[in-house]
Amino acid sequence: MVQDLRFAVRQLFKAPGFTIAAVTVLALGIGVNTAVFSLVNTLFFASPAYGKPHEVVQLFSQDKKNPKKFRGFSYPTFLDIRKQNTVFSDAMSFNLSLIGIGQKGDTRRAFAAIVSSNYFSVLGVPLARGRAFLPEEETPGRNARVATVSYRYWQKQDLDPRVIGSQVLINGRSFTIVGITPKRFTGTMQILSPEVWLPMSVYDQVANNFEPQNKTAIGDRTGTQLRIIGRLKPGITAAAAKPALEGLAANLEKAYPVEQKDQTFTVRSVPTNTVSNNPAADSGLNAIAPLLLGMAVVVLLVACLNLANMLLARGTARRKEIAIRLALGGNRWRIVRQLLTEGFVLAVLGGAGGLILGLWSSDLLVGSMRKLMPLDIVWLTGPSPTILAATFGFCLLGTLMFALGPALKISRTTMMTDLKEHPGEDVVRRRWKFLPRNPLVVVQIAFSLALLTAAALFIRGAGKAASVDTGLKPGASYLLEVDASLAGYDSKRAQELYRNLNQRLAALPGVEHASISSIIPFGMFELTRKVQRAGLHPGPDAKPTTAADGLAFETAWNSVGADYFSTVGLPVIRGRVFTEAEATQPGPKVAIIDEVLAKKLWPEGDALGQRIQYAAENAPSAQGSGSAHAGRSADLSEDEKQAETIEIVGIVPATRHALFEKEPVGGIYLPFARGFQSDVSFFVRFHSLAPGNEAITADLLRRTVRDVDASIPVISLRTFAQHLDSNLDLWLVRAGAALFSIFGGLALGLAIVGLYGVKAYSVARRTREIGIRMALGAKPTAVLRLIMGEGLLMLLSGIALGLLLAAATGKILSGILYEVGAFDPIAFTAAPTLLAIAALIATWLPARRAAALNPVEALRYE
Amino acid sequence: MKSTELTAEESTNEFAGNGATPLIRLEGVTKVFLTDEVETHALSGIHLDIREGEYISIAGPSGCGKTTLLSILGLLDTPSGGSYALKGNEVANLSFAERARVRNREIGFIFQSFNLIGDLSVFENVELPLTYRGMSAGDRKALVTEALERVGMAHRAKHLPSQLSGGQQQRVAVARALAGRPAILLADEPTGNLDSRNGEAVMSLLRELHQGGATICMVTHDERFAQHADRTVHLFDGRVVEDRMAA
Repeated sequence: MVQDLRFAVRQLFKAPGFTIAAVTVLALGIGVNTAVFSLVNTLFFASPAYGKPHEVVQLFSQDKKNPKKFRGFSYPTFLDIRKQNTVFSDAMSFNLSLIGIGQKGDTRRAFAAIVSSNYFSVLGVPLARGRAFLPEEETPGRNARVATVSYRYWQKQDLDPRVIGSQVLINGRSFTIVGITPKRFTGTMQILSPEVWLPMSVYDQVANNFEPQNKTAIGDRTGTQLRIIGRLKPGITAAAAKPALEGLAANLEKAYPVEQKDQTFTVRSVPTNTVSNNPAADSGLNAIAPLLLGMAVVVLLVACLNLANMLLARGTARRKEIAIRLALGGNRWRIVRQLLTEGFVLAVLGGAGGLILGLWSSDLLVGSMRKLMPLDIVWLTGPSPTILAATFGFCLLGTLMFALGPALKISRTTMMTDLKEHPGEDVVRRRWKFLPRNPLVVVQIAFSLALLTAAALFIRGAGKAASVDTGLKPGASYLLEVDASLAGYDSKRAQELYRNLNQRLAALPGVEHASISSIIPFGMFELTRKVQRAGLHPGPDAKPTTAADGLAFETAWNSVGADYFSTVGLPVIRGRVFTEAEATQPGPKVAIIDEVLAKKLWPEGDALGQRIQYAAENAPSAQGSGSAHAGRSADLSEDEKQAETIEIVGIVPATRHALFEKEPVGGIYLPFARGFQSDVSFFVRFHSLAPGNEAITADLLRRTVRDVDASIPVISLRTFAQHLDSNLDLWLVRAGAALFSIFGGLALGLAIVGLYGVKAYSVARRTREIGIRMALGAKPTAVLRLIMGEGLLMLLSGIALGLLLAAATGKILSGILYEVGAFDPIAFTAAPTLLAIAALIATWLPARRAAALNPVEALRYE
Repeated sequence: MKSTELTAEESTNEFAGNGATPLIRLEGVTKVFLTDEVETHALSGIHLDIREGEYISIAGPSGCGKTTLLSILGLLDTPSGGSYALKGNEVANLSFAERARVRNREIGFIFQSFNLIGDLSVFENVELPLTYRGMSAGDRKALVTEALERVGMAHRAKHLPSQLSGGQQQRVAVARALAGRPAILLADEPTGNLDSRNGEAVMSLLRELHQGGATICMVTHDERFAQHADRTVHLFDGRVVEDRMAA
């Protein structure tokens, strides 16, 4: 074996050009797989950064009557479960909240986990520094202002040991840092991590309107704010825990028939990429993992086919050497072993290159995610044992894919013929001459076309997503996002502050209009509410089919200022806009709805002047009227619970609320005073924005906020166009396009290099044949036609097979494509055209060389 | 002397030939190879006439310029100087494509190493020059069958060259050379890769073809085979040192 290795290395050194080409091809193929595996493994398969993860499960509260419906837990329910359960060695509860962290006189937005005191002990995570929260720091009302910060937060403080005991400003209040989490710890998710952990006792002070359920106090048993995670007792499985948990749920339902009505408990593994009440929340993301890995493996396959071709070509040239080995008594297995060893050495060299390339590119991808994600991304660069093992696995897989076939073929040599053979002669009999000379290249072309078409589909989607029409025409507008609650404002003071700020913004020089809005189309959050015609209250078992019967409609909800519609360029079709008084002070209940909702509620008549009401959460609603976007149903405020009716005073055109909205869901606008949210954005519409003045304008807007109150954090400030461009959904579409473009581009490059290599090698091998043909009267054009014709046959066969593969790929991808059909004609035309042009150039170059051969020299060629 | 810029039409007509002029006339043909600024004179002032129906052998020691002369005669290469008239038409300076055309129609090659194409059958190998002529499939088949029958290889038409002996391969090469009814057959050491028995058989075949009217120009360094020709031209250092008719 050592001798085989030594000979393999010597052989590769003897052919540096071949070795460099082969290693490059493999590095690309393995690199893509390493990068994708590294990402997929971290997101989906890697062991969570807490102790004995197989024992850790999430408890879900499931509606017995509607098993698809899940909800969270209240803090009192958590305490009951923690005390009464028989299956967990311990259970903890937590939720995420957006907070404002004070930083050098400014405030930035970050995520905090608000946790029970046993959070770290249940997860089995010892802190890197400091202490965990004390049980008394959990008690609601204690308002214990202590915090544990992430390792990355500590890194930002240059790992200063004095961080423990220092103060951090959270939502305008000072908290003492008592602990630092370990380096790799990310909470319950994989790479997305909160930056700060706070004790449950500060929940009511810290949790903001990001979760509307937060309006319920933490001590209120009707709340559903919390997620519960438990550590199963040794020897108890999730299945074994089920009866005990169902019994516990039944007991709690008996004890609290209103709060726990129809609720049962179930445990599942902890979602690794979301924090959710729904155990299926990860499933959409999980479906992407095999898709990404599959596409990456196709790139490796194309690379291996490429290399198999190169090895076959090289093997043909080595036929005589192999015949000599056989003549000297070497058996076929020995020859195969030697050739596989050579392949393995190549694969290891390519794997080393691929590892570097893969780790670098995954770092690059994570870097681009970091700019957009509101959560901290904890990504450990460098190879882990798993990644190294996977890369080694790709090397072994690659070796089998590219070296085994050629090794078996080359070793099946006809000894005497090969010993006599002129090296330049090709005596292979091709039984079906109408078929392409090199089927491996055909398969390469086919797979490349499939990936290229997938890339084209994604690029088309990204193009459509980037140019999507929101329905708004805000002109030269800036969006200024602030959250007064992060500076410790309550809702009453915040309303006053926002009114003041709105006036100042509107009075700025060059400003045409300014208006507050609690929800921004294409923003990070969306609120939905169910509305129905006023005065109708169908029972929970009723099945209304029309709005007149009381059918409710889930609709996008927003609360806005008086000047909102002028600011965003949304003309009022009928009726009027809100008055300044309605927008700033609670007055008569009025709303403006869009045409879609108007049509749904009054299909035949005019909605203007009619009255509507919020429907109960369990009210029957129209199927498919919900948003495709992950909006959350807003709960009902005390006023709303009284089911007071709202008068429709205006109708506006429908707008698009989110990128992934399949059909208009309808929208309802309330005066801001009737729909207060602490996290708001101000649209500031300028008459015009002079190019190059962005910094000055942004500074002016920041100064205006500071003038009102310097402690108010400006969470984001950008133009409306920039806001659309930085949309997370758009990033997803673009990331998909970029990723598949890389796959497609690599596969195209490899296939074209493969085709060129095969044709160039074929021309070199057939120099003598070409010389003979020329001697017999073949003109240069005939030679050109011969080589191009063979290339064209390979290309057309590859395209035919590739279109079938592309159709299958399109079908698989159809679920995640953005407004592009699985068989989009433009993508299915552009991809084959691009491939054909590249392939024809790759064929033409060697064909031209063949046509220019000197027949005398060609005939002498050996 | 005709112009070198012959169109395809003209050349077809012009190459009809007439009995009065020699089939081939070389006048002062030279060939100089330039390698690393060193001039090598492969041919120096060759004067040679070959008449229709003649069987001529070109003999001489290795490196005397035999193969270079044959390459020029076969329009595979161009002379550095002098003139080359084929059927009375100047062909020394024809374009690459025109030379290919003339080669296809007027010249049949027989190579020392047979030069059959490995993945084409015997039939396809013989048919190959005819396909470059744009001939119909029916005409091609008739000519190929006739050629293979003349060399006694019709029964192996579907075989690959690798399935034939050296002698059989050379007979196929002869069939390919004569299938298009060229004006002259150029044979470069046609027995060089054959044993004496097969070598004799090929020489007999060439003699037979000559007797049937074919013009043959054969390069050989073997005196025994040179004697098969009516006339032997001896080359030495790129010059004709002897030109004698057979006794």
